[in-house]
Amino acid sequence: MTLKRMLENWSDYRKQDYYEDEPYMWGMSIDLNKCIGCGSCVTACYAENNLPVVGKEHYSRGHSMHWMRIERYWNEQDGDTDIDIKHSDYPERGAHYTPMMCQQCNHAPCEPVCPVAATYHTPDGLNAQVYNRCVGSRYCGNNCPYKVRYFNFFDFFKDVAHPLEMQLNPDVSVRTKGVMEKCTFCVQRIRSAKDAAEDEGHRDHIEDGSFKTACQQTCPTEAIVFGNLRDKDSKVKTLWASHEVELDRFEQNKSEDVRGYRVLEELNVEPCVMYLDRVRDTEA
Amino acid sequence: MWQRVKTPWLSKFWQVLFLAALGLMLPSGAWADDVSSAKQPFEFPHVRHAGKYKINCMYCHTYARRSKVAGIPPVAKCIGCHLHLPSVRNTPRIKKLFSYWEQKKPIPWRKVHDLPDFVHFDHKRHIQRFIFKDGRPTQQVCGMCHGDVKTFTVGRKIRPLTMGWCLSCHSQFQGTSDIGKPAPAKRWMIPVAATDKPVMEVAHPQPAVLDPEHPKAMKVAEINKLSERLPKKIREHLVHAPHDCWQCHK
Repeated sequence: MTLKRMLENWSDYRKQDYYEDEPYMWGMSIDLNKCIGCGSCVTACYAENNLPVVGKEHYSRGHSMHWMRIERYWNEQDGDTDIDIKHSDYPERGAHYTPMMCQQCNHAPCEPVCPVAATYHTPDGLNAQVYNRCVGSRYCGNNCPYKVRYFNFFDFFKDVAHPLEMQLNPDVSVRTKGVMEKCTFCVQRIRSAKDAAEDEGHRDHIEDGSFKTACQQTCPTEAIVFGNLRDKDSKVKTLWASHEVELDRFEQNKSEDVRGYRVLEELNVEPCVMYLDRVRDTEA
Repeated sequence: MWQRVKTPWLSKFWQVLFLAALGLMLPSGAWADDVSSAKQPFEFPHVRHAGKYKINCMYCHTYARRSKVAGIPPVAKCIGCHLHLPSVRNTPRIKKLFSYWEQKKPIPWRKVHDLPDFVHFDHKRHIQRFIFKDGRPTQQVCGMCHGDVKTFTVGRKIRPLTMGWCLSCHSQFQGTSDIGKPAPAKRWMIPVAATDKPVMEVAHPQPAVLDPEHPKAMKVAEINKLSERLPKKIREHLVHAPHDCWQCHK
């Protein structure tokens, strides 16, 4: 019945600002100036969210399951780069790092295509993936412009040797074969923080910084900031405001002092993750 | 071109065969999750502890009020009392209990109320709301899901614990724990809930309001008439009643 009701009212869900009265909208800010590409956020995500380590062979076939990945980009070889990659002993030097995870789009391309409504938007602005509803059509993954949805081609945790299953996080489902999965903004931590806030009697206000996502917690340079965008005093909202990044825009202010942008925002998918552009002194 | 051959007797035959097969399957394996007859290491008499001596459920299942899981007490907790109860010391069950204690081994209880791994049910929220906020009796609250345990020996699963069953409460009572928020519309709209019957009495397995096939469902006209009396905001709230799958499935 719920599913039927959901599908019948699908256009209502897709309305802009349908959830504008909700007290939460989770967002993130990643400062690429601070990111050193160490990959500890990736490791933290593996540990927190029961991600299988698939191994080299699976990885080369595209079965990787990293909800968070560090993308590397090099400057184009047009002659005036700071590092001559072709004649360098270390051609991988000088990459730009972009931690890439689910951007929790407000107009998510993955949501309307799901045939069974397994992915939908939660009232607090998250792009939810319900594993037990997923039938594995992989339509969402193909429609994702960021390619951050990962499909379980195998039961990676099925025959795990004895002490190893003890490492699994009991707050997160272990996904089985045939379902899609993706970054959840550590929804188990959000929900338990909400739980704690309700115990203290303020369900509609989670103190900023009372919990962190796994990647944020591990980031050695504190490049990742996570918080509630509806809370005007939260650190992430302050960052968004100071770099003049706003929702409901497909191009941000790119003047001298501000360096905020959202990846592929010209697609008008309204991602909730803001990146701060990397600044380099190439003339020195 | 392929033409459909009409063989009514054949389809009838398959129908009968199918039903017969279904009938054979049902008693044996269809309720595979029914562990009401699960063999426990020994028969723990809830009837004596919770019934006769009226020990609070949360004395042993102590995590229920502060954690997702209610917890099974460690052997030490049993021994803590039973060391001082020489009158029952030589009964077979207590002998077995002490043998586990002397071997320093946990009792391998079998889980009766076992939800699927993708369901994250939170005991704490329910206990906090019904026992500590509403001040209902503990055994009544626990009994909403676990049945009248004070009449059992070992625990038995007597509620279906399916999602539809969860929703049979949540579609009516969702939000009543939110301080300052108005009671949701559904509470008015379901005849069962409108009377002040305790939650335990609500026995229908599906959210009845919008399910036209359900015998207790109201006619659409009746629902519309009732819902017109509601403030607009609550009325809109109706269409997406349990609106966060990620509360339980994450």
